[in-house]
Amino acid sequence: MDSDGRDMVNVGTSKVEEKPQCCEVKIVFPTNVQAQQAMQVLAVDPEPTNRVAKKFRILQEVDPKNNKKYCMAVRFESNELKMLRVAVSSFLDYLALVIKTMEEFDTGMES
Amino acid sequence: MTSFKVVPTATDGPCREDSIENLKIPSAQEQFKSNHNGDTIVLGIEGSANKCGVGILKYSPPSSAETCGTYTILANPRKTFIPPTGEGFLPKETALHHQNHIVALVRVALLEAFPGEDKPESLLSAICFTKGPGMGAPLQSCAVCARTLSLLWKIPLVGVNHCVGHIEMGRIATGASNPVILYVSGGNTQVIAYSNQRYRIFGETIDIAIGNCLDRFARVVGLSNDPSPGYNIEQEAKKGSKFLTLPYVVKGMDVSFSGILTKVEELAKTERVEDLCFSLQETLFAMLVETTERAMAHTGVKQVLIVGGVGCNKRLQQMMEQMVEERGGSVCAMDYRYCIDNGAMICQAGILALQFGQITKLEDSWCTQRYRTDQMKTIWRAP
Repeated sequence: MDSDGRDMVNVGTSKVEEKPQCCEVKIVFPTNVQAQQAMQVLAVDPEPTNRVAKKFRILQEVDPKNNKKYCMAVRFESNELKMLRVAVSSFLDYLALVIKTMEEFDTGMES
Repeated sequence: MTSFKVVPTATDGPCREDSIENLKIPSAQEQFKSNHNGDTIVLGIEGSANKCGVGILKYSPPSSAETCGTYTILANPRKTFIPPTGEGFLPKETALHHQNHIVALVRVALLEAFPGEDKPESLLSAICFTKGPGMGAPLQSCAVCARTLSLLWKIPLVGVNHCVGHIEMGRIATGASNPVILYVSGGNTQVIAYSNQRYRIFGETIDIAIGNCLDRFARVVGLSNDPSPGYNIEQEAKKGSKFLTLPYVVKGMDVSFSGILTKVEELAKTERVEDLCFSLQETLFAMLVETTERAMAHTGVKQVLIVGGVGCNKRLQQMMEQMVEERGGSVCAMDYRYCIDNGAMICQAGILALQFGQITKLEDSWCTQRYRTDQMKTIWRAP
């Protein structure tokens, strides 16, 4: 895995009005292409219930050393903390699988 | 690349395409490219229940007008999640099992299919995956891997109906062009016949599947899940001699197993396990043979193909043979390599869809727990 910690996950909970519980997961990828690919793969599956909603976006951030960082940000919202936990937990499992597949088969990753 | 010993999983020779009497494969295709040898090779990922398998299948077109195209399995490794005795496989644990093994299985399959090849992925034309039916989380795990590979290797996805995968694998492996199909597994029990580009369900279970009935019985009497509960019941049944009467539930073309399970669980308190296994098998299989015979009589078809995990059972094959022989027909059955869920069967159904121009867009590559056999149009067969 790349040294910039692609598997680093920031989890934060805050309050919004319609769905009071929310959680945003941000994952940093080495390149924009990989961030986009991960988003495309993971955005296909709808949540099994409508009690949880999730939204994807790609962020470009700049770290303190002025390096560009490509982030996939996923925001989960729900009225129930339990549903939120289940959704985030299984999402992370699938994300880990995407990263594992990329590590094994993304030949362009080293370059 | 790490080097390790590859245990061969594909040992059979090529199967001739003319034996199954499909339509002629259209020549011009925009959806996919054949590789530089002129072959079409696909990778298939299966993981709808507790088996996780990756297959690689090659289609070689006819080299001249006199010869015939062939399908060859290049690799077909599989890994099975075996729960402890007395327990079944739960969705979350099974999904985790698949997530842990799928990437390694893809690598092992590529190593076996293309030994010494630097860029084996460049030889592939598509990734096939199971779209359904099955358990949600395990299906989704395999689909996530399939999608990632499709994006990385820039080749299309082909979503496959699991049941159609079983049927197409059975047809090509046995050379049965248009049989009546008995599909018996842990999650499905169906008698199927082909008509007008769909595999029609003639009869099915109205409650639990036959494999589910066997698995749950094995749990009650404490038989091991290794290698599979059905196999252990089959071995025990050979030692049984006393036939215990169990409910025999055939309703028209449909069958029901839940009442039998309740009864056999009750008898388990007093009777010997061997006799229970024996009686359970005899009763269940007799019901299946009866409905299959009715489907044969109705369609006028002389061949029966048995597919699905329970299809490995020798006693079932034997009872079916007896019935079919009396009708002057033949039974096509396979061994555990192809009966039990595997990646090559997803390849087989997938490559046919691909060759006839059917691919699945990334945004449509979601999985579904409910996907009936007759929902997938078999565009490769004559209407």
